[in-house]
Amino acid sequence: MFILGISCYYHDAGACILHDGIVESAAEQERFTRIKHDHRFPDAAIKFCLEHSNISVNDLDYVVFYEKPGIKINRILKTIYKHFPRSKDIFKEVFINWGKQKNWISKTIQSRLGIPKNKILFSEHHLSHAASSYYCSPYNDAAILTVDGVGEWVTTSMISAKGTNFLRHEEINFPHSIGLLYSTFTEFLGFEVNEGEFKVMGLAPYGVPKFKDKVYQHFLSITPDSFELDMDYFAYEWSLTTNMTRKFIDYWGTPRPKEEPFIISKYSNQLNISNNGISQRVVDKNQYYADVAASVQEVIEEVMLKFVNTLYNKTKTNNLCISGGVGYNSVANGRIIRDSKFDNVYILPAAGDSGASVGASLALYHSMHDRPVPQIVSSSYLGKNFSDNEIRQVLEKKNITYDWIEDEYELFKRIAYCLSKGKVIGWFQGRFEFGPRALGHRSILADPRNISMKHKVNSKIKFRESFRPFAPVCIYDHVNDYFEMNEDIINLYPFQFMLAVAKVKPEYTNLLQAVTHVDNSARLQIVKSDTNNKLYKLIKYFGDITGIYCLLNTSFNRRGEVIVNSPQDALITFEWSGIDILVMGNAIIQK
Amino acid sequence: MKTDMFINMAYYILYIFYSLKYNIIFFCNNHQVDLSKMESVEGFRKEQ
Repeated sequence: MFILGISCYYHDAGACILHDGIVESAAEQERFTRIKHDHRFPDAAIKFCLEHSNISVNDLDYVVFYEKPGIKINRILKTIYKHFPRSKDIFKEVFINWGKQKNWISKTIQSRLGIPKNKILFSEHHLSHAASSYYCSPYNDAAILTVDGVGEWVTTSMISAKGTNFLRHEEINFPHSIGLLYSTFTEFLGFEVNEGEFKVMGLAPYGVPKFKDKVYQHFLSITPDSFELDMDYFAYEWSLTTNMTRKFIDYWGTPRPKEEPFIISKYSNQLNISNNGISQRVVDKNQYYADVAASVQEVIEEVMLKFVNTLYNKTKTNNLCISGGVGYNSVANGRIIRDSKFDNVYILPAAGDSGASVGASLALYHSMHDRPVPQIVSSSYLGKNFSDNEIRQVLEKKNITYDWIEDEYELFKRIAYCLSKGKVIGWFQGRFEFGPRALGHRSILADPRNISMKHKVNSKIKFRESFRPFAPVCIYDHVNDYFEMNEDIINLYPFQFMLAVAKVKPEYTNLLQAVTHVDNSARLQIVKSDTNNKLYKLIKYFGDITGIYCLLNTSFNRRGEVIVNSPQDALITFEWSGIDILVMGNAIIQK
Repeated sequence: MKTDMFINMAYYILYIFYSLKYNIIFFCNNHQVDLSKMESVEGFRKEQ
């Protein structure tokens, strides 16, 4: 049985193919169109998924959409009515967008794919999230927490699953949303909503959560299994342009101007920014914004932890699955792993809406079939692969000089040596990752030992904000050497998917300067030989030369760009950035 | 004034249209999906 899962029309459109309950391929539309967070109908991703499984549309048994549009429009219209006439801009947008496309999802799928109506089905947004995490996990029973901005109505749900049965214990409905609370502060701190949330997380360690109590007192009333926001502070119910009301701005002050450099005197050395010529007032203001970021981050962590512990008390299982966009908050995830009552935690690498395409298809499949043996999605390498021949053809067509090194030992040894000498490597191998993290198939790699590498990667390649940390990738055998992790949690999947932070041991913070954040945390990726043998070997050779079995790993793209998909994309990014060496398959290309 | 009238009219047209299309009485709290109904393919057929 083949099922095509689709998610689109909000952000991060994606598609996947499920073959007899196994995820064969999954990809975001943005990788093919090169438009960041592309939300349009994912024809390119669907085409790739069908080609990968070597099937045509006629072979599909079902196509399942990740949410129920009828319930979503119910929420939107009801909200417009509640706030009319100040919600009239939203109304115009709904009139145009829903009239054009969102209202005709079944018809769009029929016409784009040429598939009969009776094969088109609809899951529910948070069921899709829950299924994406649970059915890809190793567990046969689990508690599931889904948290995002909003689906149809639900923003947070607490579910327990046993076999193929789901039971919803609690749900919190729009407008009360942890995801939208975080997004509102993201906007206040001068970052793009649905894009800059990672940046708030990166900014938080520069501050002190001194306003945490204010957030609780004025913005959020919370019980062990629910919460409510004071909607006088939030405008997302009726405004298209901002999440903040006048009352929010009166309370927190002027929002941080977009793109303004982030300068804090205490950390100016680490940030490689001179604060000469910058007034003390600006420095103080930046410290204030960092304190706000720290406060809202702390609140999110505490709320998540509270919900997770409530869920444990309700379910008494040892296994937890997390999904939804807030599942990308690796700091909160790390805290849940350390401090919650659950022993095991699983999060799909694509925890957000693109991953819901996988969840919708899995939920549908398991409505018809039992789950005798759990399928484990143990890596995110579900995207497109390019063969050696394809890579060579691209290089030869463009007349690019390259060395093709057949002997992998030679290849890894040579690249490890270059890394140890401070070279920055573009690393392009195998199938691209599903989800926003580059986990060693479309990565930029560098020596993690020297802080200057962070500045080099930032200023010559990524061009991103200097306060944002880079992540380490470390081989499994040496994780305990550098990071404070006990045996109970070292095998948990969030650490393989770069979805949880760990503390760097004090004796290694200097040796891992380029990947250690100001609070000595690191968004760690553990690599095992059975999930990414090439990267594992490269790090091993690098460790044999330097004594450090870790590398700096960041996504293979420049600021604002989509992570590379094809060899052509990789060559363009290589050409226009300060990457020293590009490795594609066994080909080495030098500048 | 005329614009407001137009928007009001358009809103109610849209409201009636969606009510008919999705067979929803919009102002009832009928938005919760019963997960037990999603344990069969039939639960996936509806758009609402």
